[in-house]
Amino acid sequence: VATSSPTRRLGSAAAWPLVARAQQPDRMRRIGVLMTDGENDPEGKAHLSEFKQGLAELGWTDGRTVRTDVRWGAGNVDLMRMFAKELVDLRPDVIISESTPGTAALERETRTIPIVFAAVADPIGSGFVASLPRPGGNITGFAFIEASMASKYLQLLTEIAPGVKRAAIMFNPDTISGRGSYYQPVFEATARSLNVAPILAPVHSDAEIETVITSLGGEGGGGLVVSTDSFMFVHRARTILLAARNNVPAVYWNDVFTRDGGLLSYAPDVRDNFRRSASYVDRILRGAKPADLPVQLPVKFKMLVNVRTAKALGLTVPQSILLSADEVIE
Amino acid sequence: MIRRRQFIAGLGSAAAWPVVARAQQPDGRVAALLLGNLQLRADSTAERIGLIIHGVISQIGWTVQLSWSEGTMEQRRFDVLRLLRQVVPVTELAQLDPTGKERLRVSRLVMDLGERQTDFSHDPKFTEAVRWKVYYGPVYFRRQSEAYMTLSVAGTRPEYGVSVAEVNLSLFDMVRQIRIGEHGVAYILDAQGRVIVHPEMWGLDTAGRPIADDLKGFQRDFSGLAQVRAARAAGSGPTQARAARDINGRDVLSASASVDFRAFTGFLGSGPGWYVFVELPLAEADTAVP
Repeated sequence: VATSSPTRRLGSAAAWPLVARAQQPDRMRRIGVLMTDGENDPEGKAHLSEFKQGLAELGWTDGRTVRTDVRWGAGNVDLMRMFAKELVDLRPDVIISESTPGTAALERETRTIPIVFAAVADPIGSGFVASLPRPGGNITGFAFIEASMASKYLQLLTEIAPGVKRAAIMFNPDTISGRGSYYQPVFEATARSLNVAPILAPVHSDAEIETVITSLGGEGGGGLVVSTDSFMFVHRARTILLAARNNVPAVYWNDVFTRDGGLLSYAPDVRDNFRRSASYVDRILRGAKPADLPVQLPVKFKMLVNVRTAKALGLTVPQSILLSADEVIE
Repeated sequence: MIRRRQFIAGLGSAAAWPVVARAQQPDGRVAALLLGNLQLRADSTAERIGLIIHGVISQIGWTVQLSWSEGTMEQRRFDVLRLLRQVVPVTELAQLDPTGKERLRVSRLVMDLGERQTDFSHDPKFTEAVRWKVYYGPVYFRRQSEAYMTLSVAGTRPEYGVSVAEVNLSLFDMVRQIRIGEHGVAYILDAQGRVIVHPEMWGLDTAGRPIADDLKGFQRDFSGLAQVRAARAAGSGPTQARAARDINGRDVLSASASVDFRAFTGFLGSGPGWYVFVELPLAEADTAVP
C-alpha cells in the first residue's frame, strides 16, 4: 500500500528537499527458531516465551510484523540437523538457535542467513565466531559460560564441603567443546591454590560415571564438579544417584540437577539470555550484520542449593551460600 | 504503515499527534509540538536514569557501613553477597580499607579473593570516591565485548573505607531500546562528553576505537557537537530541543537533559553529571507528518 505524503517544513529546518517519499509496503519478517529441548519441556517453553516477549517489547509482534517458525530438537542431534535444513529452506531473515549442537547444525546449512545463538558455552572453541568482539561471519549471540567460572565452581564446592581434598571435573570429551580443554587450565590452577588435588574425569557412559564417583567416595575427601555438557545433562539421574550413594558432594552447571536432588548449582540465567537475544534479532532485522555484533556474555546468574541433600551428606549449608542462593530447596 | 505507527508511538503522546496533524495546524505549531515531545522524552529518560543510578549507589552504600576497626571479614562478605543477590548488574565488588588497600573481592565469575593488600591509595577509584563520596569511572570493555563502568562509593565516615563495584552497563539497556521514530537514537554522555551508553556502542576496542571499519561514524568524542556544547554550558539548567547535526553529520532534531540528583534530598554524594540526548533525523520528522 504505497501512499505518498505531502511534505511539511519544520520551522528550524534548513532548505529541505521537498521529496514526497513513497512509503514501503509492509513486509512480514520471518524468524526461524531452533530449540534444543522437546516441545513439552517447560524450560524450553519458558525460554521461547521470554524471547517472544523481548521481541514484542522492541515492537515486533508475532503474527503481525514477524512470523516465527519454531522447531524442537528434543535433545537429538539428527533431529536438529533435519530441522536446521528445514528452517534454512524457509529463507527466514534470521534464525535463533539455543545451543552448541543446534548452532553447529545450522552452520552446516547456511553461511549467509544470520544466526543468533542464545546459550553456547564456547563460541570460539566451537568455531562459530572468530572472536568475541568481531564474530566475522553470519553467526553471533550470547555465550553461556566463561572458562574462568571453573574457579567459581571449585570455590563453591569447597565452601559447602570444606572436607574436600580431591576434586574431579567430569565431562564427555565427545560432546563438550574443545574436548574439555576449555576449563582445564583454570580448574587445575584454582585447585592448587585451594590445596585440592585436581582430577580430570572424562566419561563416555554410565559405567564410566560410576567408576569415577565410586573412586571419589571410596577414599573420602572426594568432591565432584559436573561440566556444562549435554551428555552430563542427559545422564543426570544416574550421576545424582551415584553421588548420593557414595557420599560425594557435587556442584552442577544447571539448576535442573539441584531440583532433581543434586547438592548445589550455579549457572547463568538462560531465560535472561533469551530475552537479550531479542535485541540482536531486532538489530539484524533493522540492517545490522552479525559479523559486527559482539558476542555477549551472561550477566544474570542463578544459584540453587538443596538442603535435604546437604543433610543426607552430613553437611551444614554455610550462611554465605544461603545468602547467595536464589532458591533453597528444603 | 509500520513506519508511521512506530513514529507515532515513538513520540509518546500517540493519541494527540494524528489529531493535530489532521487538523492541519500551521507548520510552526507542528514543529513546536514535535520538539516539545522530544524534550519530554529526554527529560523523562534522564529522570529514569537518575533513579536507576541512584538506586545502585544507595545499595552499594550498604556495604560501607562498618568501621574497619570493628566487624569481621565474614560480616563484610555477607554484606557484599547480599548486594550481589539484589543488584544483578554488579558483577564484582572490592572493598578497600581507609588506607586504600584491597581487603576483599567478591565476583560472580571467578573465585572470591581475600586479603590481597593491593594498593589503590593513589587510584581515582579510591581518591575520587573519598573526595566526592561517589566515583563514576569511564566505560571500559571486558573481554572487548561487554561494556562496564566502575562505580566507587565511600562510607559516610573515612573509617568505613570504599567499595569499588564493576557494573555491567546492561543496567541501562532501557536506553538502548528506546525507539525514537525509525532511525532516531537516545544516548548518554558523561560530563566530559564521553559515551556512557549509545545504541551503536558495539565492538569498540579497549582504546575506544571501533573494531569494525564499517561501523563508520561512531566515535567517542561527541564533545565538539553543538548540542553537546550547549548542554554542557547549560549544566543542570533547562535546555530546549533544537535542530543540530548528529555524530554522523546528519541533520537531526536534538533534545537533551541532565542526569542529576537534585531530586534526592539528603543524598550526600555528587550526581554523575551525565547528559541524555534524544535525536530524530530531520528527514524522518519531515516525512512522518502525514
